[in-house]
Amino acid sequence: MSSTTTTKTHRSDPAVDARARRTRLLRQHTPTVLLLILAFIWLIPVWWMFSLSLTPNDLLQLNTKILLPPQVTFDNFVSVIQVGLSGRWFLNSLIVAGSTTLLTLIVSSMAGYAFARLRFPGKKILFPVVIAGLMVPQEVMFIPLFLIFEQFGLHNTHPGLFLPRVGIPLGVFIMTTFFAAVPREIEEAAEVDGASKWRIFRQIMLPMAGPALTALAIFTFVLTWNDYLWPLVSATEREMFTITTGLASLQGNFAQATELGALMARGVLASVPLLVMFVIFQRQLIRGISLSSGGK
Amino acid sequence: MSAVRDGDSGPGTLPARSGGDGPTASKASPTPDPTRFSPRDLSAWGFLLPFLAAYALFMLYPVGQAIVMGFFDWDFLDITRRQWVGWDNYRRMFWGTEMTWGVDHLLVLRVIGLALLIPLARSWRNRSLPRASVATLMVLLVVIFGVLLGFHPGEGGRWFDSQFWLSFGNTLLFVALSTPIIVGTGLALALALNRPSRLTGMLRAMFFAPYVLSVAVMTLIWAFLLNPGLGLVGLVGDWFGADPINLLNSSTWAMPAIVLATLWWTVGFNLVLFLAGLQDIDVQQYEAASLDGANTWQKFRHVTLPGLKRTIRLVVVLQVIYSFQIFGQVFIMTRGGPDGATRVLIQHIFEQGFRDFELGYASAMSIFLFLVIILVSVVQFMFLGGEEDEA
Amino acid sequence: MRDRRLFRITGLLLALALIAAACGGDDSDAPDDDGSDDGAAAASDGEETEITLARFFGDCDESTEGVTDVSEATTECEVIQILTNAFNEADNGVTVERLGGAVWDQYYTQLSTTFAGGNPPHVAVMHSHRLPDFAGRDLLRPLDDDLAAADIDFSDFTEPAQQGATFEGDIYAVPFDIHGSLWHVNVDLFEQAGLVDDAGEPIMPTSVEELLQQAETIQDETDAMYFSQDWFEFAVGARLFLGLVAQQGGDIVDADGNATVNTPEGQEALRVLNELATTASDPSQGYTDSESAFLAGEVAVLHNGTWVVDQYSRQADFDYAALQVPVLYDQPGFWGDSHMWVLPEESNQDETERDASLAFAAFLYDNIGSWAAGTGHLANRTSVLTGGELDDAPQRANYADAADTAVFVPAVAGWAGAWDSLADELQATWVSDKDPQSALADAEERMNESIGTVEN
Repeated sequence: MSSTTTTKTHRSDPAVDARARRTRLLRQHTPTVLLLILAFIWLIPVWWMFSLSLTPNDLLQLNTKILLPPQVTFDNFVSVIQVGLSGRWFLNSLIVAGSTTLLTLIVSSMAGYAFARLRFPGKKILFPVVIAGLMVPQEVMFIPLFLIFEQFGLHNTHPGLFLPRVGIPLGVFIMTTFFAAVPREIEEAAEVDGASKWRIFRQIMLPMAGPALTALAIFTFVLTWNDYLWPLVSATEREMFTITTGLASLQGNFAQATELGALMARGVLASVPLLVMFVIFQRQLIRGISLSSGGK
Repeated sequence: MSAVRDGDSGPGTLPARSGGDGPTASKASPTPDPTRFSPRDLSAWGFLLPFLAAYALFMLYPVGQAIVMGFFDWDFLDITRRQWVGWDNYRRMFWGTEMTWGVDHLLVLRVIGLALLIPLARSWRNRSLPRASVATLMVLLVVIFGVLLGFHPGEGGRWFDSQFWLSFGNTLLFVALSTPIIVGTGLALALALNRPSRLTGMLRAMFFAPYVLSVAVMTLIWAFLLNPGLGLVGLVGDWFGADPINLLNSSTWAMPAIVLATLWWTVGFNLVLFLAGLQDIDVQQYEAASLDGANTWQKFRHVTLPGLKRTIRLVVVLQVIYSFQIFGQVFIMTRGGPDGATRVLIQHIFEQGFRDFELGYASAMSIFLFLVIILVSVVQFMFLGGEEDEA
Repeated sequence: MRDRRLFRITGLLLALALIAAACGGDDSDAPDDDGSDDGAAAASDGEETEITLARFFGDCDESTEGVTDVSEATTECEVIQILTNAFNEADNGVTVERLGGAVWDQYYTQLSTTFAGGNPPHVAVMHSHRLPDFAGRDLLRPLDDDLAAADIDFSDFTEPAQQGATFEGDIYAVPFDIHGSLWHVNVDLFEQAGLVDDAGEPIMPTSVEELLQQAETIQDETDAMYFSQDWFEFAVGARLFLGLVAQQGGDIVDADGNATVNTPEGQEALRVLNELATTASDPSQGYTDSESAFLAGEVAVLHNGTWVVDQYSRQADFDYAALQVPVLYDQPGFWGDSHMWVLPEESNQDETERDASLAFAAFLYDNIGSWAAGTGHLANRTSVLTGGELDDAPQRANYADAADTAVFVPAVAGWAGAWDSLADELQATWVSDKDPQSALADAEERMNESIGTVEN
């Protein structure tokens, strides 16, 4: 690795030059090739899930050690789509995950900005108290939360499903960290112009936080989408299931063997929307321009 | 470069560091009028209000309730049966019959714990960390490792809840194994994929893909995959004529297998955070370093690492928190087995609360776990934050 | 000015939440509403009384939509859903609304939460080993006086079924079946090894020595392994342990409700399990791989339950027999449990609703034969067992007697935890060579930590 700079000194000799170029090409592409190989290995379990989801259930009962389906069927998918409410469950998940994400982005970026940039009495105490919320095992809050929502009559409603997650301070932690990294000068320039804190937040800080907001949005959406235990107890009416609890409710037997293909198909159907979302938004994670010019 | 970044680092640095950011902070942030009730304060609360409302209602209140429940024999099914029991739940957790104290009990662990006093003593001497926090930590270390861990049931005695210690130990093991592996892999992938090109975009999606799976699907895949009779492990074994063992059914290998599956599943989270964090490093710094003739390693060491400090701290702290809360993948894949090798604390909490209906005891254990995570996080903030000052 | 803007945003957020809440409210206008007053109102002014049902077995509303003929069912889910459809279809003034209690692994978490929230369903399915937890807290309605009125003849149930529905002298449930351990046998392999009688029926061992001898013969004469079961996932080993202890006349709980597994009978049963694990089986196999090994013809005997009989009958391409667990000691005995219908006290206060709940339970009682025929579980009523209703269903004749000899786990509160601990410790002996003696001692200790935590 450390020889990068030494090749430059032999620029005059054409033979060495050619070899150097080869070495450089090799060095440039080896990591990419290695990464590609690793990525394909990484995806083998997912590939396997797809293969099983396309294999008839009764074949799987005899053999699951396959990389390719010996016989392709879409029955497993059809059987899920045929469930009349699966569209409704999907919609519920969209509403719940979408609302959670939107609310989380708004409240966390505001709070994160205040914690990173504004001065107010009690900040030194309040921030640790808020971050401590991350360390609470979710199982602790389960019953008290359940009873609160019972009191408000919010079970079997969308807010009942998305409100609890808005109080989780992951977003505040992430946004505080990223806002704290933004150079002060940018803000100071605006302050000199007499801009209000709110305007600075909205017009300068928020646009700069693109990658962090994207990251937060992805996490929040994925985690809410995959939530299991809370929606299971809060939404007991079939019409209010999310896609995750809805598909889980289709499992007919405690053992998974008899419907492995169908289970895998459900897994694929529940996950693909998230993957598509990630592919669309992941570009935002790389800003491609330097921070100093990002303020505009 | 530290001048660019030093600003009021905000509370991102937490309480332990509060003494550290004094001089630079007040210099960097202009405070035109430090009166008590400046409109600035109000606007800060305005920014905070929406979150704090949700936080108070959906987090603080339930936690407060859990703390209260920890002092009751609180029946999950029938609230009318609850009974105030004081510290009994905690006694059941920490104590046993015929308790004695021995120097040699858990000797290795305690020596390692006490060895942490050495770096602390050093930072006490050179004042790299606030002395008050260092002193507190040193006292805590001595009390925990020097004294408390020496207690154990003697001849004919037993812990009131042996499973508590077993599962807590497994949780600690998982934290220790998974944190460096998952954070390190996430960082390495992010560095490799921090280029805007179509190919890296695709690679990012490929490495992130497992993160979108729900715990049910992820465990379904891995439980089958690792099974020699059913999964790809068996297929590969067949190719090479080998007879692989069932990792999940081996008390030695089950935990490493869970770590591997968790790495595969969650590394996308760290990858994404690191990618976002890398955007905060000014490309001009790399260019400047190149002009100075810095090689790849030197650039990483002197530009990337310092620039990522905050993100690294964020990721490490989050990873430790999440690792402490491990539950779902273990519960579904091994149910804590074999022979208790993967039984973790949240599983024990969950079973005590929701299977055995002892919500009071479950709450007390949760509060204990909560306090442990806080303690570990504070220590991390101290050390990871402290380094930042030096950089 | 900036503050006003902030307030506006906050206000907007609040409004958003309220609107969302309102929308949510609209969404939940599904036919049934949880408030019991609503239910009462509906009952008083109308024809249809609505009751809620919580159960597992899965969700198959689509494949059974409009179907009321139970003979079309092919799975547990379809049988129970078609029966529900038929009940709803019938002119009885009652509609059963199923709650989302379908998920297997968290059914009891979900059910318990409804009790904790003070809003349990009208009717719920429950395993008999869970009954003491709920009945012991007075959360279930005692049915002693209701059964006769609902035309349910409790004395028609077999002895184990009656025991499973009774707690401290009161009847708390209408049992629906008995399910339990079976010996699933690949008769072809037995034949190859010469272990069939003149009629071609596989010979069952009558002692531990014969069992191990058979294992040796089969493994010598064929390529197959003699025995398999789920060795570590679903506590199947503990089921066999319970059966073997009972066959020796032992019990795993004493008269005072304390666990006693570290007994001569327990040690003997654990010895046999380990003997099987090391000489005749592969203890790394779990539920699914042991099953697929059996179906692939690689295993002569699979220890699994009643619920797979129909599936194996369909799928096995060898001569398949479902037999009772062989009697290796003095008396028959195998692990059994029961799916039962209970009526939570709190939701059955209103008389109309209670009558509706009872009517549904009675309807299911009338259809126990269909359930047994469609699922492989044992019918638990003498009249059904002898009535010829099950003659057409495969294999049933081989194990019908079992309805009288099933051994239920003892009726003590906190059993779920105790059972998990027992399974844990037993596994440790074949997974990580834990000393059997200390495994049983530890099991006993841990079981007693879980048992009986509900007292007074």
